[in-house]
This record gives sequence, C-alpha cells and structure tokens, in this order.
Amino acid sequence: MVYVRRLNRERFKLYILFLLVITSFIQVGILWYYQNQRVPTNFLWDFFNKNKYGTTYNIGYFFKPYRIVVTEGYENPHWVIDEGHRYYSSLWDEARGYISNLLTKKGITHQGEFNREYWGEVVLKKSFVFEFKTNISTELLAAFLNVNPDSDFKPGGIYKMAILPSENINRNITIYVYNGSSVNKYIMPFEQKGLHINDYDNIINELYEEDGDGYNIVKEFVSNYVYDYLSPDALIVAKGNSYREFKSLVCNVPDKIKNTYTSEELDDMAKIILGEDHDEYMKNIDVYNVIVFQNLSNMYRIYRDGLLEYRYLYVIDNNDKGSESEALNKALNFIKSREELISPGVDIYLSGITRNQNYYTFTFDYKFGDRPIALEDYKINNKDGKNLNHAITIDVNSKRVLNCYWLLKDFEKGNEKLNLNVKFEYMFDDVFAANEGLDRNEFSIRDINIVYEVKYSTQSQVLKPVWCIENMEGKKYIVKMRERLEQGG
Amino acid sequence: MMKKMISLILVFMFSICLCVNALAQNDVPDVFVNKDTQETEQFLVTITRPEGDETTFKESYVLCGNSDKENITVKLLMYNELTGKFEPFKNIDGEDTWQIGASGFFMKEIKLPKKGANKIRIVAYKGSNEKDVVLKPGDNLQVNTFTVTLLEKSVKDSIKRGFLRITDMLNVLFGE
Repeated sequence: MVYVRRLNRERFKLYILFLLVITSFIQVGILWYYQNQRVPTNFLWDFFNKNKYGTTYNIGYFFKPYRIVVTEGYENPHWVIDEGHRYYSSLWDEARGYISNLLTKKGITHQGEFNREYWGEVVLKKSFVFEFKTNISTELLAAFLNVNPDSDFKPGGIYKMAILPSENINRNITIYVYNGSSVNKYIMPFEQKGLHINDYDNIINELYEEDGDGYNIVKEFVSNYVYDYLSPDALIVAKGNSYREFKSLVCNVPDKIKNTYTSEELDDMAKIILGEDHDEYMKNIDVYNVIVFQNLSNMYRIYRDGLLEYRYLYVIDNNDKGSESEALNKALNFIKSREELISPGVDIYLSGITRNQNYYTFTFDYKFGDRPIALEDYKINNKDGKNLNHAITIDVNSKRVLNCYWLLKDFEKGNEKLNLNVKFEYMFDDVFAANEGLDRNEFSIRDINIVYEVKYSTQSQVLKPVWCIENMEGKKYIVKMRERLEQGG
Repeated sequence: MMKKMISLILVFMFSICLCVNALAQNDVPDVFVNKDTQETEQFLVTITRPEGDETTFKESYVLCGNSDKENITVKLLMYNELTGKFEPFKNIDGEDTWQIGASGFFMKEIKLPKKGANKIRIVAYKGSNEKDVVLKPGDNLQVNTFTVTLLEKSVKDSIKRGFLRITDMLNVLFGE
C-alpha cells in the first residue's frame, strides 16, 4: 500500500517535471521569437501553422520594366510605352518569354560581348527597349520568372534589354542585353505563339498614327567630349514644340494618419499596420505627436507627414543574410501585407538594390498616372537627421525586415494645367545654373525624367512637374521646368 | 512744280530704302557672309551635329555643339545661291544668334529650306557683339561650313523596298 502511494507520488512529480520542461521550452520560444512575456498563442500558432510567415505573395508582382521605349531607328521618334498603354502587356509578355529563353539557354546563340558604349549603337536601330531602374540579377530574374537558370548566363543580370525584330537577315530575333557595363548580343528564333516581324512593324505604324509625344535620345546629338558621361539612351526633346501640357498633382497625408488620436483610432491604425499581431504591441502617441507601436523586438513609428518607420530591435544574426531572392521576398511581403496603405492609382517599382555585408537594401518608388514621384533629400522629422531619396527603403535579410522607411502619401490629379518647356537645351542650362560650381568635366547623366517631387509637409501639397536628372552615381538633380504663362490668364 | 517735288520726294525715299538695305547688310560682317572665308579648326565650339557633311530624309534638322569656354556667341548662316553669300538663318525659335549657356551646350532645330544640298555655316566668337573687336578666322573667330542634303522621302521608301526585295530574293534562294 505504501509502495503504491509512493509510486503515485513519484508519477505525480514526473508529470510536474514534464509540465515544467514543456513550459520552459515555450518560454524559451517566446523569448527567442518575440521577446514578449504574454500568452504564447502566436508562438504556438506559428509552431503548428508554418505557412503564416511563409511566402504569401507572388514575387513576380513587382517584376515590371520601368519603361518600354519603341523606335523605328535613327532620326525617328522614340515613344514611351507606359503601363497604361494598350501595347504594354503584349510587349512585356513577349520580353518575359525571351528572358526565360536567355536564362535557360533555349535555342539561343551568343553573338559576342561589346563595351557599354555599344548600347548607344543599339538604341539607334529599330528597337523595342525594356528598361529597369536597376540591374536585376540572374538570381532575381529566375525567381521572378520561376525558371532554373543556366549557370553561365554571361551578363549576370539585365539592366536594359533591346528586342530588334528585323536586324537579323535570317529572320531570327536579335536580343541585346545591357547590364550597365557591357552589352551581350543573342540570336534566337521568334517565339511560335509570340509577335512576328510584321506584328512589330504594325505596332510602330500604329504608334505613328497615334502621333503621341515622341522623344529623341542623347546619342543622336550630344558628344561626350566635354562631359564625363552622358547615357546614350537618355530620352530628350530636341525637336518640335518646346512646350507640352502637364497637369498638377495633389499630394496629401492619408486621412488615417492625420486623424489618429484616440485609443480607438490607434487600434484601427494598429490593425492596418500590424495585422493579427496588433494586440501584442503597446500603442501610444509620443510627445512629438508621433504614433508609436512597440513591443520588445519591433517598433513602428508613424510621423504626421505620412512617414512610416520600422525598426527591428533585437539582435541580428549575421548568418541570416541569405539569398537576394529570399530577402526580396521578405521585403515584398512587408509591402504587400500593408497594401491597404498604398494610395489608389499608385504603382510601386523596384528602383534599387544594395548588397551590404550582412543584409540587402531594396528601394522602391512610386508612379502615379505613369509619371514617377521623386524624393530627394526628404527630411525625416526626428533627431537622426537622416534624409530619404526613395518612397520605400527596406533593409532586409532572408529572415526578416530589419529597418524600413516608407513614405505614405495619397495622390490625386490636380486641376491646374501647365505648359512647360521640355527642350533638353534649356533643361541642361538650368541644371548648371541651379547648381553653382557643378563641374562639366565631372558631370554625368544616367537618366532624365519629368517627375513630381514630394517634399516634407504635414499638409496638402500641389506638385508641379520638375526635371529629375540622375547622374551615374545615382545622385538626383531636381530642376524647375520653365513655364509658359497662358496669355490673358 | 508739284510733279518735280513729288518725283524728288520719291527719289529721296528710294535712296533712303537702298541705304537701309545697305546698312542692314553691313550689320553682318563680311567675314561671316563671304563664301570665300576660310574654314577654321573647331577651337571655340565643338560641333557634334552635323558631323561633317550629312544626308537626311527629314526637313527638320537639329544642330548641336558644345564648348568648354565661357561667353561664346554662335551665329547660324545659310548659303543663298542667288546672292552668292551666306545670310543669317533663323532656327524654329526665331533666333539666328545665341550665347552658349551655363551647360556649355547648344541644340537648335532648323527647317532645311530646300531639297538637295543646304550649305550651313556656323560661326563662333568670344563675347556678345561681333562689332566690339576685329574678328579674324582662326584667331578669335571660328568658321565652319557643312552641307546637309535633304533627300525626298520617296528615295527612302525605294531603298526600303529595294532592301525588302533583296531579302525576299535571298529567302527564295535559300529558303526561310
């Protein structure tokens, strides 16, 4: 009898011991994953449901060219095919097919490698050019297109790609790939189900009939004798009317951010920013009128100008850098899961990739109505004194987002009609006039765009188009466009 | 008497008109307009377009150049076969003379006046007024003349058609 009682007591102790071991594991899990001493429901949920933090969104969502440029060749106009244009999808589908072929080496012939200056010769021919804002590595291309790349894809990535449908005398398609430092030429057969020579010609003929705004390219006119480097394919206006019509743009701080003061409003905002995890955070408005959501490992700050700042507060494991595609996937999930914050009509494009020692920095920018929105030295209203040059800047590794600055703004078309001088000559003079001491011999142009620039403001802003000239180092020069005032107005 | 007076006034007015024309001609230094003025090196402005004599199918033509020197004036002239002289020629913005701006660069669109050969002269000098100093080609005056030949569009089409015929012939010979 005594033996049985003792056995029961021992068994009871054993159960307690098991319970303690299990709870200690849970506690360790909580500390590791959340640094949060509350009920470990999310930790357990994560344990049983592995999909929660897995890939939810298609990585191909952001894989779009910054612009497509079509021309019949030298002395003929270059037309920009924006995302809203009727030929955009068919041309981009075509290009995606040929990029897949290039990566998988499906029936292609490599016809040589040329220096970067040769790109200027390519864009003077009848061509359909697909431009990204940054060099997209082979790994990212493969992830975007969901293909297994051949290990020796020579360019190592695509910055710009040109399809020349009628260059090859044997009626094959010619593809030039420019990675920013060299140009590679490939020949391959036309895709059976894709566009053929006549289809490409028809597109050009219809663009002539549309008679839209055409551009020239720098290579046609400007030499590099005086300047450090001028990208040969930078689009410029050299012929025709000096003035083109534009509309103003109204930029607002989202109402949700402007009007968040009470605890209910804070809860609503937390649900949008934090999703299911919103109840794990302390929510408050600090003395600087900044909305703050914080737990032991994460901090979100939402400034009244619409800037969302995120910081991961816990220790970063340097071994977590991982691959570029894994990191980009995390960055895209961060953005897509907060899609509700993005203003309707706004497109986001990948504008830059920096490969740091232990993590990656991806930058994204906005387009509204096919026109880019630029930030240049945008002041962050805190003690850090940092400036932003992109709408979204994300530091990320393969496991998590580490830091993020995301300027949330609502955009709508303005009512003001503007006649602005688009001629390259005046723009070029104004760059030097506005930037005293700028050395011609050290000046370079990588790209020229007409953009709307957003500056720091907690109020509504009416934006007028401005020139945005990017040099080879990525520095932007924002220059006011010359305006023609309406007579009698 | 009255008739004499009227005829005198008319003669006077006619002479004034002739003088005005002569004075207007004198506005442009002879060294600019004279077809025999010697060509110089491009020591003040580098003309990037035209690069030598060129042929085009488009009536609209863009002249381009750049300079690393300050305070340079450029003047555009077109050869007139009837007078045997170069005459100031206005670009589409209505200017035949301009100063190079802060960028050191200029780009001017012109309408080629006729089909066939168009002789264009670009002169460049330091300062803003050609009368301030005695301009001497090669010393303080750059003079460059180019021939831009405007071809009929039909020539382009026939070249295109000819090329297509050649490719069609090759296709027939060697198969697609």
